[in-house]
Amino acid sequence: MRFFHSLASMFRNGYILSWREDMVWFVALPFLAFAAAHGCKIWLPAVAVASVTLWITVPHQFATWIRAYGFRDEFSQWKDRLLVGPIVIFGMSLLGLKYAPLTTFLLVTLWDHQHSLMQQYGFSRIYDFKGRSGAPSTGRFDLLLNWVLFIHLIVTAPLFTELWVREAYNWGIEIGKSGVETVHFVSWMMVTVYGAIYVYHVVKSLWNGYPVNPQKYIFLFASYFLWYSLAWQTNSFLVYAIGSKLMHGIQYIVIVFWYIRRKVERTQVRTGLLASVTRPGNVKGFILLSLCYAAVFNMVVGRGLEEFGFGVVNFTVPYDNIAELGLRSMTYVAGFDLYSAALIQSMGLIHYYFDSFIWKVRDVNIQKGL
Amino acid sequence: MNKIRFLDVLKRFSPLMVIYGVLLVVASYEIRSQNQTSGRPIGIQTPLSPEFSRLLLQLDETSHEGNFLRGIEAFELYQETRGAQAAEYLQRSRHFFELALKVSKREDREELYYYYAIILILMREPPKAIDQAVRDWKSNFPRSQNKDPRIYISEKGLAP
Repeated sequence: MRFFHSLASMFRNGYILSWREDMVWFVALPFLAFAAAHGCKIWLPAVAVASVTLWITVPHQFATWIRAYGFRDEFSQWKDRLLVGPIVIFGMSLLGLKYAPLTTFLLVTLWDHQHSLMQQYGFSRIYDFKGRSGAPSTGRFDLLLNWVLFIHLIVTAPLFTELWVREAYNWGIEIGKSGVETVHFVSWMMVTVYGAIYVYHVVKSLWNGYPVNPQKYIFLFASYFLWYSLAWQTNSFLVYAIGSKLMHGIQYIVIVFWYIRRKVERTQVRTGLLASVTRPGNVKGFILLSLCYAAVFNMVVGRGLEEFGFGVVNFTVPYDNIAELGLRSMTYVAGFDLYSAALIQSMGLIHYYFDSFIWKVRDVNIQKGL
Repeated sequence: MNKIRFLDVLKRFSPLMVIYGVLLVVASYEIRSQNQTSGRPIGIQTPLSPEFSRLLLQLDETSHEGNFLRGIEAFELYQETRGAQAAEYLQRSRHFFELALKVSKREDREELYYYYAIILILMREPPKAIDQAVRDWKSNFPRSQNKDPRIYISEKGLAP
C-alpha cells in the first residue's frame, strides 16, 4: 500500500486547458494531422499545401497579431520590439530576397524549424507549470531534449537528409556517401547519450522528490510521433508540411484563444475586439475573423483562387483534346480567360436578376424606402 | 543613465541583432560566391551536379529527387544533341521521370510534371496520355509560371 502511495506521489497530472480539451488538441491532433496529411497526399493535388497554409498558417499568424498588439499592458511592455521588429524584418527580407536569396531561404527554413520545436518546448513548460512538476533544472533539460530530438530528425530522416545534402552542394560542400553516413552516426550517438542523460535527470528529480507530469510526456510523444513518422515514412515534403502545419497552427490558435479569454476574464476587460471575439460561445466569431484575415491576405499577396479550395476547384486546368472534332486542347491561359469572362458576365447577370425583383414600386416594403 | 538605457535597448534587441548579424555574414559569403561563379545558376530547383543525383540514389535507390535529377540531366543532354543519340537521351529522361513519378505521384516538384508532359509530346504519345500529363501538371501547380509545353517546344526548336 505504501509502495503504491509513494508511486502515486511520483506523478502529478496537470493540464494546459482541461483533461478533455488537452486530449483533443495536444494528444489526438497530431494523429489526426498525420491522417489528414496522408489524405491530402492521396486525394488532393500539390496545391493543397498552399491551401493549408492559407487556412491554418495565415490565421495562426493573425492570432499572433491580436495576442501581441491586443492587450494594452503587454503592448507597452514590448512596445519598441513590437514596433521596430516588423520594420527591420520586412526590410531585411526585401534586401535578402534581392541580394542573397539562398541565405534568406536558409534563414526562413531554420527559423521555422526552431520556432516549431520551441512551441512544443513551450507547451511542455506549461505542463510542468500546471502540474507543479519537475525540478528547477528540468526546463533546461527539456529544452535540450527538444533540440536534440529535432536536430536528429533533420539530420537523419531521409526526407531531410536530401535537403541538407542539397544545401551542402549549393554551398560548394560536396559531401559523399560515407560523409553522410558519418553525420548520421554522430547524430544517433548524440541521441543515445543525451537520452541516457535525460533519463538520469528524471530519475534523480524523482529521487529528490520532484514529481513528473505524465501529460507532458504523452504530449511530447504525440508531437514527435507526427514529425518522425512523416519524415521517415513518406517521401514527400507535401505530406510533412501539411501534417506539421496543421499541428503547429491549430495548437497555436487554441492556446492564443484560451490565453486571451482567460486574461480577459481575470483582468475584467469586457470591451473591445479581444473581449468580444473570445467571449464564451463566440468561437465562431474568432474563427471567422481569422479566416477573413486569411482571405484578405491571400488577395493582397496575389495568390491563386485555387488555394481557397485545396485545388479541388481548378480553373486553369486545360481542356482535353477532342480528336473526333479536330480540336486541340485549350491552353491554361485560355482556360483562365474563359473563367474570368464567365465571372464578369455572371456578376452582370446576377445584377440583372436581382434588379428584376428588388425594385417593385408596388411592394409595400419597398415603398417604405422610397 | 544613457549608457544604462543603451544597454537595455541592446539587451532587448539582442536576439534580432544576433540573427541578422549571422545572416549578414552568410549573405556576404553568398554574394561573393555569386560574383565568383556568376555563370552558375543558383536556386534550390537547379540540378546541381551528376555527383549529387548519384549520391541520392546511392543513399536510396528509389529516391524521388535522385531519379528526377537524373531525368533532368538526360533531358538537358537531349536538348544539346541531335539524331539517334538525342532520342536515346529522351528515352532515358522519360525512364527516370517515370521512376520518380512512381515513388511520389503528388510531389512538390513542378519540373517533374512539366518536363514529363513535354517529353510525351516530343515522343508523340497519344493525345489522351499527353492531356493527362498536362492536367497533372496544372492541377498540382495552378500558379505555374512555366509556358505552355507546346510553346516551350517551339521556342527551343525541339523536334517532336
